[in-house]
Order: sequence, then structure tokens, then C-alpha cells
Amino acid sequence: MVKEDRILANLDDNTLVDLALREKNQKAWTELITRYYGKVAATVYRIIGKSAEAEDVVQEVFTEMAKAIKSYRRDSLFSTFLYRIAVNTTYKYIQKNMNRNETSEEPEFFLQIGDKSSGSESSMIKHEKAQMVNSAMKKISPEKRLVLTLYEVEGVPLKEISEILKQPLQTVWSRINQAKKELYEILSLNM
Amino acid sequence: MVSEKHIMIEEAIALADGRYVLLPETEKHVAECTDCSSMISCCCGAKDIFAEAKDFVPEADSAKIAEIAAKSFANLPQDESDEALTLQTMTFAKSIALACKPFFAFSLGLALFIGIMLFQKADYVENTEKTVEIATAGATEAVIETKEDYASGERESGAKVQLAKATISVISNTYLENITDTDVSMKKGKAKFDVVTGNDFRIDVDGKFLVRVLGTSFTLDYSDGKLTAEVFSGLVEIVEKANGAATQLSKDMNKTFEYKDHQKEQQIAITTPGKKTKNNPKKQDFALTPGKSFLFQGREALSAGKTGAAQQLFTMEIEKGHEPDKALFELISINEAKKDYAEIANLVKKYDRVMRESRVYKEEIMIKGCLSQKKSGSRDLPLCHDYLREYPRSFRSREIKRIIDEK
Repeated sequence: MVKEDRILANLDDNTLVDLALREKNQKAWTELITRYYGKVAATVYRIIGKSAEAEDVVQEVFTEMAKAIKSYRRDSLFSTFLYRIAVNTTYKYIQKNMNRNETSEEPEFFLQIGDKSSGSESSMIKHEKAQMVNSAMKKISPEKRLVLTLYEVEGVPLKEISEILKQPLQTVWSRINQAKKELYEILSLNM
Repeated sequence: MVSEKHIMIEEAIALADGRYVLLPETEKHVAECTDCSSMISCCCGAKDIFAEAKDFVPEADSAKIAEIAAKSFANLPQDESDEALTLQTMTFAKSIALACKPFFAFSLGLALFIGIMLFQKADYVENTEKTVEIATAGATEAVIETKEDYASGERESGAKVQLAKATISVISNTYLENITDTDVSMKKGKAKFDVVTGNDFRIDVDGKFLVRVLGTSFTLDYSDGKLTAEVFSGLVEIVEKANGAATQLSKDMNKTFEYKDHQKEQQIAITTPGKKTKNNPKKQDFALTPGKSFLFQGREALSAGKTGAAQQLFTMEIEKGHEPDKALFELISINEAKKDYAEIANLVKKYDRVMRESRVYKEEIMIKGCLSQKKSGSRDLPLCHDYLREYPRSFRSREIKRIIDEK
């Protein structure tokens, strides 16, 4: 059993997909999810914050991945395929919940940056900055937070964001700028 | 005396993004004005937090992952053959339902469905008893298979793979994967293919060649990018995926194809300017990586301290890339650090169109061009005048006016 797990851990993503899809090998599927859970969760938490709802979104991402796996072509990386699903699923969640009132739990992703317990001055300052960014991020709309996070944190090129969100390049660009402006205005008010 | 004009939020954002530089007078103002300096510091501070957040990955809980995996695994699509069978069953039951009374059709459909389920169950039990060895990365492990002939893996010489529409006879150890009734991928080895006439069959050879056949008998021998095809009957078409060239081979024909890595060929050796001598040949400074933009690689070269290579890469991005304005800005910044104002003035003149078409960098490049024209001793300062025409209400227009007046 341990030997099989070790072999699966050494296989590339495409082979794991094949094993799961063609040979219904659940261990291969679990290995694939183990590999990407952290990255997917990080992307979702950055956009909608770490909450019970965000965990449901992460689950939904992998369910969507299972449904769409047949359309995965080997000409691009598996991680790119999964990343697109993660962003799309998160975007759908945001659209669905746009008219809803404040979520019960608020984003706290940035709070994890900077270890205040370490005691060093630089990490205390960093933690303080992270707290301010976190509270400012909470105040901007989820749609703006999404584009800002994709562009600034995830480093996704503008063209790709426009393709993922199916919105014109100029709309995305102006939304990013509006988000930055709002965020920095909130930050400078708090300083 | 601190000037009364404070910097705007857009300017602080542009500064944090690195696409804006403070002019001397503004710099002086920022140094003395607490409001402006705190605005700039919070913009830049947020950038640092964003950069750090990028590398932050939450810890994975194995129980949670197992739960997610189990739930999502249940959503994997059904096997194609199962789908086809279910579809056939449903079509058959539907046609009976049209012909007979609903109750009779329902009973018959139900009986048929139960029968098929029992048949599939029996088939599954029989197949799970078979195991095949999957050779992966040098390790061998028994994996339960549903159909031995369709499993990925290496076949030894003499092995026979019987598919619905083709037979593959392994001549020397051959690695096969992604096997279906109509497609197969071959990674290495030599094998004979016998495809039943009238059936379309495709063989993907190591992702580099595509072999299309329509009822024929032939052998394929592949190793290290070299593919030899020999046709005994019928017609075979070999497509070189790198350039799309297709070659058709008919009976008694054979040909060897060699995969050329076009991407590797396109790699350009970027060298820094310097004198080449016999004893000290000019060394390659930076090799291009296919798939990455010149701009991206230029920035990489710059952060590695290879300024010469970075300059060449940015020039290539301006001339061939998708983000010429960003590259022009980078190129200007390099020359600015070297205080080569004449070169900046030349660049702005040469790539005037790139500057004017840029939505984001136009203003900044214009200002840099204007200052460089002044510092390099240009008489007319055309860019400074252009700037005033284009941005009459800009925060910086006052300074530009001053530059023109000083002249």
C-alpha cells in the first residue's frame, strides 16, 4: 500500500488523470487533489477570505474539475486547467452572492502574513500592515477584490483575466484601477 | 517652502506600480509633506503585502482532502462504453414504448435494464481479477485493471494488444498509453499495426508525430525523436506536429522522420557587448526560453544583473512582442540609471508610435523624453511642448513649462 502511494507520488499529473479517468483509480485522484489542494485553497481564500463558505467553494472547484476533466487537453499544463476552474468557480460564487448582505465570516487571509509572536520589529510592522490591508480589502466590493487579487497577488496577466471573466480588456483594467484607488484611499484614511 | 500642490492617489498608485517617477520638485514636496509621504508609503506597503501573500499556501488537512477526493471522484464522467450502452438501451426501450402500451414498455424496459446491470456486474467481477504491470518511472506496481489490452504501460517484445478495430504486435519493447478503440499513444519502441479496413485509427507518437490510418498494415519504429514507418498495405499519413507537414506512405514504402525541436532552434544566444578575442570568445550571456515573453525574460535578466541582455530583450519585445510600451519604459529606465540621456531621446524618437499608442505609459515616457531632450542639449524640446498640448491640466505641466522657460 505504502509502495503504491510512493509510486503515485512520483507520477506526473497527466498520468494520474489517466489512471483516475480510464482506470477509475481513486488513489490517483486523491494524489492529484493532495498536490493541488493548497494552491486552490490559497486562490479561493485570497479572493473570498478564509471561511466555511470558502471551504465549500474549494470542494466545488474539485467537483467541477471532475466534471470537466474529459475536456482537459494535454497541450496545456494541468495546473493551468485547474486554475481556470478555481477562478471561474469563485467568480460564479461571487456573482451568486453579490446581492446578499455581508457574509457571516469576513476575509482574514492577509492576517496570516507576518508572525506577531516572533517578537521582531520587522515582523510586527509587517503584521500591522497586513492587518490594515486585510481590513481595507474587506471594505471593497467582492468583484473588485477578485480582479485586484488576480492581478496584484496572483500575477495573472490582464488578457487572461479578461478571458476568464469574459469581459473586455478595458473594463477589467478600469476595474483594477478603481479597486486600487478604493483600497489605497481606505488605507490612507486609516493611517 | 513646501509647494501647495499635493500628489494625487493615481500618482501614488503609479509610483507603487513602478511606472512613475517623481520629478525633483515633487520629490522635494513629498519629503516635506506628511500627507503625501504617508499616501505613497501605504500604496507601496500594500504592494509588499500582496507580494508576500502570493507565496502563502494554507496547510492541507489529510482528512479533509480525502473527503474532497471521495466526493469529487463520484463526479468523474462515466466510461464511454458504459455511456454508449446506456444510450442504446434507452433508445431501444423508447422505440418499444412508442409501439406498445406504456405499462408493457415500462416492464420490458425495467427487465432489460436489470439484465444489463447484471451482465455488466459479471463482466466487472471477471475483469477485476486481471492485473497488469504498469511501468512508471522505473518502478513496477500491480494496479487493478478493467481491461488489460487498454492499460497504459510497456509491452515486451512478442506481446499482442488486441483492440476492437486494430491489433498491435510488439516487435521490440514498446510503451503504449491512452489506448482506446480508435487512438493510441506510443512513447517508444517498435510495433506492427494491423487496422481493420474501413476504420479510422490514429497513433500519437510521443506527442511529436501523428500517424493516421484507414485500414492498413504497417510498422512504426520510434526512439529519441526518430520515427521510421514501413507500410505493407493500405495508406498511412504521418503528420509532423512541430510544423504540420503531412507525408503519405502507401504499400511497400518506408521513410524515417526526425523530430526537430523548432523551439530549441529558435533559442537566441544573447550576448553582452564586448570585444571578442581568440583567447576569450564572447560567452553566451542569456539564453531565451521559449514560451516566455521577451519582456518577462528581460526583467529576469535585469534582476540577474545582466543589463546588456536585458536591453536586447526589451528591444526585441518592442519590435516583436505584445507589450512594447512596457518594454520601452524599462529600456528608458535602464538608460536613465546610466544617465545616458541622449540614448533616451533617441529611443523616444525611434519608438514614437509605441509611446503615443500606450494607454498606461504615454505620459510617463513623454516626461522622461522631455527631460532627456533637455539634458542632452536638444534645442526645441518637442516632447515637452507635446506634453503640454496633451496634458494641459496635469499636475506636472507647471514643471514642464518651467523646463521650457529655462531653455
